[in-house]
Amino acid sequence: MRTNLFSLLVWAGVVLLGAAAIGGIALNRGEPINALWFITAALCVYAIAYRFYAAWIAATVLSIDATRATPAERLANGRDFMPTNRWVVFGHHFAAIAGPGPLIGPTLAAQFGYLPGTLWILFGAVLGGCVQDMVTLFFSTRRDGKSLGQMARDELGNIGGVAALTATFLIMIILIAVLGLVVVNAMKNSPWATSTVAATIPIAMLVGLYMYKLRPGRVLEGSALGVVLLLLAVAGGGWINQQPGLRELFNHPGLPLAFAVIGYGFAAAILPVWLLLAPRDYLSTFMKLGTVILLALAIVWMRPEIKMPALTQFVDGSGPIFGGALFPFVFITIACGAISGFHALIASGTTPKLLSNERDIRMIGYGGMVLESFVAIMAMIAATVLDPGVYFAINSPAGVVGSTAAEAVATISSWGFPVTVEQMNLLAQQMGEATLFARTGGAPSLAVGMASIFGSAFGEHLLALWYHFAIMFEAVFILTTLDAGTRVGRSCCRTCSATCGNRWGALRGIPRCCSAAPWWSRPGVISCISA
Amino acid sequence: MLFSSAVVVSAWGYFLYIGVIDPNGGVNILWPLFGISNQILAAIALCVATGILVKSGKLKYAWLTALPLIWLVIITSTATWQKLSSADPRIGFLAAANSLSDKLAAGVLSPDKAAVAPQLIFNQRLDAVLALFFVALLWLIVIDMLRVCMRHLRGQAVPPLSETPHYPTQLEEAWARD
Repeated sequence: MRTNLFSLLVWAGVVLLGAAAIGGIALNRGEPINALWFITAALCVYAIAYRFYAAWIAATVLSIDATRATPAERLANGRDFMPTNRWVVFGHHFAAIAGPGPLIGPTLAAQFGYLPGTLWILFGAVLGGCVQDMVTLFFSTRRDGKSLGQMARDELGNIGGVAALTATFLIMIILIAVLGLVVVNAMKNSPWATSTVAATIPIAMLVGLYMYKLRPGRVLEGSALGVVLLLLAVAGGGWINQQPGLRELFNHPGLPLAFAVIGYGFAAAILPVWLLLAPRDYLSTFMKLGTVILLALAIVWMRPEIKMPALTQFVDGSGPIFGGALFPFVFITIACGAISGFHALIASGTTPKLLSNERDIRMIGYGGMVLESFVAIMAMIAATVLDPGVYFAINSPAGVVGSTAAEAVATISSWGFPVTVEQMNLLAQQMGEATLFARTGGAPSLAVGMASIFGSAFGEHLLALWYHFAIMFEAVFILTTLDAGTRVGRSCCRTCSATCGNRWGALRGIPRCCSAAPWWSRPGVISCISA
Repeated sequence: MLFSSAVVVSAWGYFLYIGVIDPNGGVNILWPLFGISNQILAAIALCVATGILVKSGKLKYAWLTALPLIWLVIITSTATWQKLSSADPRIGFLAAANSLSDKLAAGVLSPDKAAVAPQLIFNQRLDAVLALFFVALLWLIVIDMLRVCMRHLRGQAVPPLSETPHYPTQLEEAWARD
């Protein structure tokens, strides 16, 4: 009875705190608001949703049964089906669902102000995205880990099956293209970014060789090596940027870089998974969790103020970054941090084949998405702590604001977001870049936001290093998605061309590629992790 | 493997190339299309889940997935409608194609922009077709799901639930629990 009362009081406190934080964010006008409120609101909403809504879904709607054997147990084959420690499954699921999407969407949607995006990320996730991931994972687990396309065909009929397969294929193509564009825009005429991103490729291959050939199963050693080398690559890029001869080697406009990315995508997709894809997937999981936690700590420590207004005049659809009114475009722009169909492919892919007990579905399905939504909130904070003028100068394309610095500054200042050429030049110089005007795609402005938070927490003189660290951090995810997505698309493509009919068995191949072939599916690795 | 990889890489490579040569940065074209297709895939997953809930006799809980599904259908359909019909070239795919082809015909574009304009015009129209196709797929599967649910509720034959039977777990999984 006493514990009940205690827990009632604690949860009542969480509800009040969350309501106060959301109220503060939503109703605040004019006064500067602190980023700490965003973190508080997010954590309270997640805690309440996970404790009550997700628990109710698990117990009442889905009737999760912990005594039932999962496909991983019944069909264990040591390859795709294998009962696995729930934290390892969680790590795998999170790595697979959290591409770079939750970072880019909120950055672009910040043109409407901080409020619409933040509310959609919070409530879209707990009421939509998390529910989708959790029920898809549950239904797939109850159906031998079948893919979404197979479930659609079995439960609804052939129409559903064909629609799901087609949507999967086309979404992959567009996803890869847009992410490729983000990485090309981040590397355009930036020798530092280009050389750092290029260095991640041999580093991942070296780690792959180390983990699978030199010292099989030594996952921790391999990853420590990888992280150190990646950090050296960031610093080395700065050195290359100072060398006039080497600098030109990595200084390219967009088009050659686009062809380089296309060539890379082709080469990477035909290399064995263990050599490039799996080790980078693994490294990027560490990098993402580490960076997000560091960012959260830096925000709690520094308590930066949000400089973007709650709503801007661009809610009417005249925004410079992308055209379209608040409704419906904020809900389209922020996909991965709130609700994302891509996750359904993972939740009906590798994850149900590794799950050792149904009762972990809540933690992995619902909890994994909660964490991703938190990443999106971080990206929103990083975009809105910048001066709005700076944010618009970085993200607005030259075709909208004018191609010279003076024109761009005049246009953006006329919107009521003052910015000067000197301010932008100083910022570019601090970040070690030639210019920051019209660096569209979201990655550069996210990197500037992250660098300014880290810089204020850990020293201003390291700004350029932090900036390129953030670029490298995003590029690692994007290159992994290019490669994994090409494999998924290839598998769809072969399914379609080989049969044009109902051979859905081939669809089973998709999830394995999608999740970048779980590195722990090798016995040596798995014993090392679960030990 | 080489051939199918080449097909897939050229498909996304094409969109990437168009995005890079676009003087407006490409994001304006590609990101909405990505958002629409990703949300439509989510809606398809929620459709499957709603259908399974209704067929399992859990109609009273079907709102759990049906409400997010309705919201996604509304936003993706509205967004596609605006992308197709808006007269503002910054929003509508077709408006952008028409405005660019008018400029090209009037000869007001600089030579480097005029050189890539035909590709951009074609791509805007392709994007319009793709967005329409995605939404058509979504409506098709929503209607199919509603048909299956109605048949089930009326007691008519539907595809049977494909859930596997219950086997008790044998796992002595001290290592897996904490």
